[in-house]
Amino acid sequence: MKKNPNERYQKFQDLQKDLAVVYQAIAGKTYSPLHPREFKVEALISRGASLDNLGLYEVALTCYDYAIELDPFEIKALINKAYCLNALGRYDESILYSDKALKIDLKSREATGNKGVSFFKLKRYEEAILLFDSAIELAPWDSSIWMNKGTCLLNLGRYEEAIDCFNTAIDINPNFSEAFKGNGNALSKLELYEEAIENFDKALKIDPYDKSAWNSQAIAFAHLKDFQSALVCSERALEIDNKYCDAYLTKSTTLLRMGRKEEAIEPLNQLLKIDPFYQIAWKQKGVILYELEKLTESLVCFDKATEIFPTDVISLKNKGMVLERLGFYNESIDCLNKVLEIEPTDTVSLGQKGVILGKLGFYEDSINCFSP
Amino acid sequence: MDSNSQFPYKLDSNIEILREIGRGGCGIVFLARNNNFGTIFAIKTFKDQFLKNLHIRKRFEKEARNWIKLEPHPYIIHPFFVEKISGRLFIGMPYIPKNSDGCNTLREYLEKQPPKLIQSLIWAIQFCVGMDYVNNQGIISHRDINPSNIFIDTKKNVRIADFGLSKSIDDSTIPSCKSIENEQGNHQFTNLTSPGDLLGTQKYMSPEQFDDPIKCDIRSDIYSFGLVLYELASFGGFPFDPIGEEGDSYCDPMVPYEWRKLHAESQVPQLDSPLNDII
Repeated sequence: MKKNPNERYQKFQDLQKDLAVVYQAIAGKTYSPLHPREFKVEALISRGASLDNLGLYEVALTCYDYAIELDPFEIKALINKAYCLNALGRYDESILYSDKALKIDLKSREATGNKGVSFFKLKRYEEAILLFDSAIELAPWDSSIWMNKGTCLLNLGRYEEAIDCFNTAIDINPNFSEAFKGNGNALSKLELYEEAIENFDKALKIDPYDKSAWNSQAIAFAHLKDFQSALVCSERALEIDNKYCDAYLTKSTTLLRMGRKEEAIEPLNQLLKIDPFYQIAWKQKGVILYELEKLTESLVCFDKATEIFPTDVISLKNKGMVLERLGFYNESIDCLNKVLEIEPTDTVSLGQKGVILGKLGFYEDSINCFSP
Repeated sequence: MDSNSQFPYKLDSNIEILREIGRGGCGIVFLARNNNFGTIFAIKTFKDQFLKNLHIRKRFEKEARNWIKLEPHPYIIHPFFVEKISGRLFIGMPYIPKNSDGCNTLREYLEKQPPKLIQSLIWAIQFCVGMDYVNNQGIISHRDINPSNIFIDTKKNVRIADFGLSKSIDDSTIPSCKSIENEQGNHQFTNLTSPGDLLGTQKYMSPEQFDDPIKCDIRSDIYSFGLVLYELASFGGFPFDPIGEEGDSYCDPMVPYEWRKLHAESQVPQLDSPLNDII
């Protein structure tokens, strides 16, 4: 209890030694404390699962690897490793471990579900749905499988079916915020924005820190032209994560739709500082600058957008338009030719090309552009 | 208790929430049962009022991270699962039942059944072994060593708990909630702090912990444990008296300055105990 830390025991080990001496003097024998337990397979799996839940996937993997080393047929370790590999984006490896687990137990809903998630992440939605259906047959009471199936259907544009799945997940687990969010997203796609907002509200009541729910709600409000609410929601998402690019884009789009063009640029600048390869942001910034008659700056943006995604027809068209306005007719025609290589029947680009060729005095070529 | 209204989160369908068993600064602990295996355990989460408080959520997640990273040890209460449900984190851990006299913490033993010297020595050695182990595992300082966080299990072994304020080698500076012990020995939430603000239980805090908890190391825990040892050696006594001689409120437990002064300036009374030299 010395006031100065330097004068105290420096380690508990030193204090323990002195206490052991006192103990021996009084008890007449030494005291042997217990030693750390050897990890058992079950404890390793449990620890790995907790690390998974905290997002510490690499450390969790070491637990599962050790558990598999101790018992290569421990199905839970194989299943959890597959889950972990999915979280790390190593989907093909994950499928491998799900398959190993399924060799041990063909009816493992976890392994089937994990494999479904891998296929989902690989955008092989139809195959994923088949796996989720199998998992549902094994465990119709597992809300997360219904949720995953719903998300697949959402990505396939089968919105009504997706809503059915999300609702089943909610029936099983009324506090499943992700399922309410899934419903909100599906309803937004069906342009039922008011109902979508209600579902986002329910999701956010359960988890007020779900940034993507705030952002999706912002988009729904913007569709209803309630721009003020949209702004509030996108800002809420940014309060939660100031590096959340999608929310910057939503904020910019909302400001743009409110006619606040100059202000709409700032969120895009912040977004591009975080992710300079966010192509849509360059495209949107280019459009705003074009509308503000800042043509040279707009061209820089479309240059970036086409550099990141060279076959993006809209960026190429826009770049062509800016180049034309700046008087760079040949460069503009180059852009339009690229568009026509990708979409040979794009009449707008053909017409634009015809106009420019006319300006350059190539009248016959120009006429050809307008010929049916 | 209607467990659905108190605990509306769906954990594993086999888990049944039985009742609330404790509340701390930010956390709340429930007793739960796994109906598949018939096992009883404790589940800790943060209080409902902090659901919208990002700092507390981060604080709680940090606690879980520091805790789960520790490898199991017989003298540590180790969580056996951490689950995030609808954005809320739950830590499942062993439940240490109370003995027939209602004791499962060192505080309760000190109050109801002050241990004999030989038992105190065993517990003190066990505590040191546990703390040395966590220190070697990367916990630089627990920062809240006090008799309420030292559990005694059914085999009469020490189990160190509550790494909610601990500082580990890979910690970034995450704001924390103050946890101040009140007269009943319970922790009270006061407000959020930034790094450098007060953390811990004032009655057991080293002078340097008052000055800057971020700079605390294991020696601060050794100071706190020195006070616990004093209580063990004196069968429940405490070296400083926060109440003045006239009985007026010389030292309000809620005033950190007064507590710091007591810790920094008060002389520790001599004890007629073999532990006196160590303390």
